[in-house]
Amino acid sequence: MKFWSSILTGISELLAHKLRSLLTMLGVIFGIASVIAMVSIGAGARQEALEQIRLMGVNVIQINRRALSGDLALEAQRESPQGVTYGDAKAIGELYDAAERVVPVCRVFGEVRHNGTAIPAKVLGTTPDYSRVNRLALASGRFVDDGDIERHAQVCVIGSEVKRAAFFLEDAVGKNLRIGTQEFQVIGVLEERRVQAGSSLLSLPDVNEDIYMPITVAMDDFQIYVEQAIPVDISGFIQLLAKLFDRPPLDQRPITQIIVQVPDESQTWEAARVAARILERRHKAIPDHEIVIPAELLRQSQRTHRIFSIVMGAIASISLLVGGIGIMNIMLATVTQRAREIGIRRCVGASRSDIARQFLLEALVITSIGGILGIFLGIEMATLISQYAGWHTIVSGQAVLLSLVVAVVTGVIFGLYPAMRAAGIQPMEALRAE
Amino acid sequence: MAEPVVLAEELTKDYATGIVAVHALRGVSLTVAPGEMVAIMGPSGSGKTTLLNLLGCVDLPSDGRYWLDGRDVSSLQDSALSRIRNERIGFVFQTFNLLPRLTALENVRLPLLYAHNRVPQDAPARALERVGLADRGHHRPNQLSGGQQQRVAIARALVLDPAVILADEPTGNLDSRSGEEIILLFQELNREGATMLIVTHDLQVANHASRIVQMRDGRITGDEPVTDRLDARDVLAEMPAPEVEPAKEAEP
Ligand SMILES: Nc1ncnc2c1ncn2[C@@H]1O[C@H](COP(=O)(O)OP(=O)(O)O)[C@@H](O)[C@H]1O
Ligand SMILES: [Mg+2]
Repeated sequence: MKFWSSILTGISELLAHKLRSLLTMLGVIFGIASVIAMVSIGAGARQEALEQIRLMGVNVIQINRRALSGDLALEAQRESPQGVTYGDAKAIGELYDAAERVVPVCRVFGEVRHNGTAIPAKVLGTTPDYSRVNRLALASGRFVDDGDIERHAQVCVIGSEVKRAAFFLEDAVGKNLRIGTQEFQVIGVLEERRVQAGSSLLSLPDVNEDIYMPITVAMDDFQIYVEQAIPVDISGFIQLLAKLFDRPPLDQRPITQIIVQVPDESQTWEAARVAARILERRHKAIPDHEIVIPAELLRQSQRTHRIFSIVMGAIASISLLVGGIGIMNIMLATVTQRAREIGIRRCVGASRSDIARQFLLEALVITSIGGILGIFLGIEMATLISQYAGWHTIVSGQAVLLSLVVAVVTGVIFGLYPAMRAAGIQPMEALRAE
Repeated sequence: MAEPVVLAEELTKDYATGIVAVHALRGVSLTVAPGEMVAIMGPSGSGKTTLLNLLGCVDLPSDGRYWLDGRDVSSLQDSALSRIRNERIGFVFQTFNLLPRLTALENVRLPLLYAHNRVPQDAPARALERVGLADRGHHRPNQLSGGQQQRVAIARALVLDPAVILADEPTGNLDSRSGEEIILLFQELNREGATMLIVTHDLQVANHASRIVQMRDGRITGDEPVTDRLDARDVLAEMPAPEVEPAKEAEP
């Protein structure tokens, strides 16, 4: 019997019993949806790991300034009023030999303007090593260099989004940008970087909206003693205040972050321990900083993903098993109901394998349609998971293909026995029974 | 005499039912030449249907040999037997056995789904036309009268031009006029060259055939040509005219 007429027979059987067909399909629908969700989460997790490795590597640790409150804040005022400082970064570099690079980062809170229009940007003061640790690529110009730092040069490097907002298609290098109350000359523009993994767990910077300036300039002119962004109108006032006060020596100036790069991922724990010890001593045990190990975050994130995948896999297996048994049950019932049809078909020339094929194809039609509905549900589920868990999910063509294969295999496994039963029906007995 | 269409030698068929085996056929030999119209008669349980099933290759004999159209089919596998049923045999049943969800035309097309060789696409339509139902192709069986359903079944049996048509009590579920019309159709087909075997317990029906085979207890007890063969046209002419056309005829 021709393939398509078997398929059509199968479809008309389904349409003749719509509700029954839908109920029969439910297990397959949920099973396949779970397969899609599982594979999409897995793919998202894999991509997240790859992104982390691509953008920053996993051989770094980050030491972040942390705001304190209550009694601890008072104690901090007394013992370690600056929090994380430029001196801390230098100390780690000197005391921890295994560190390949130690990069201080100082967040600058000042409005960025060009020809009077405000440009959304995140401004950071840092050192040349920052671009190496973060694997920044320049589209034009150059990054901040040691000379800039030495000279306290009023220069900056801008991300592609900043460039687009401020200069659009014009060449930006050599032009000026206003940051806070000062003019900065653009010396470099970064290449646009697409960040695909939007996981909130990982601390991947979005460099496209960044502006970098020499750390010395950031600490001189934008020195901040508070964590929060300062509203525009009072930032000038604060800066003025800062200038009025005697500036503390460079080493005691607060910064926002220290990035420590080690040769290999395996050394990150050690780096974190060493940094913690150094800072504990320098900060008199005040917990005004936190140490982040991206490799560890990544590992945890991957573990969470994996557990979720296993749960989804279990749901998928159980749904498919239950759904498959449901299909087998229905198919066995139809075989009995349709014994006369089988007898008639056999009399006009259907062989046993024709009958088996017809019933197998009917099971396959059920699981395939269930599979297709399941794929849509699965894509919906993946989207919901992205939204609520903040996980990156990727519904790939492969996932869809795999789901279809799973659906078809389910159909074969659970349709085979009913198909063989159908093939085994004795035509004349079937026709005799009234 | 031309090569026989049906040549059966000492066919036996035993059914194992629980403890006792039923000997449905106890050695039946039968030869049917092309163009014959053979009626098989006998009391209920005498093995008529069983014999027809063996001749129609839907069941295998317990013993004996059987040649259909010169080919030994007693030892063929299922796929080969299926092909023979498809190409060489046309079945007609007492209960019509149409698929209720298919239209008349689709029912007639059913054998084509299992055909191995190319079949002209218009064969089902022509078969329906041959049985006088060209305009009923899109009706479902429940929209047709019993006689019409049986015609559809005959069209299905004819569609692939079989070597022999096997009919098991084809008029058993029909009123006498519809039954006679079916017999008329059979006689016409027979005159056009079709070979047929018709099981019936109705002597009136059997007398339309060219030969009557009598069965009893799984054996053939008589086999004689019909000397005074009835012509269905004459019988119909003598019948009272039909009061109304069958009620079940719905418009398309
Ligand atoms: N599948 C079967 N299993 C057991 N016994 C059967 C089967 N088919 C037919 N028989 C028996 O074989 C005998 C002949 O049956 P059948 O050929 O149907 O007779 P007929 O058609 O002449 O009435 C009967 O006794 C019947 O009960
Ligand atoms: Mg019978």
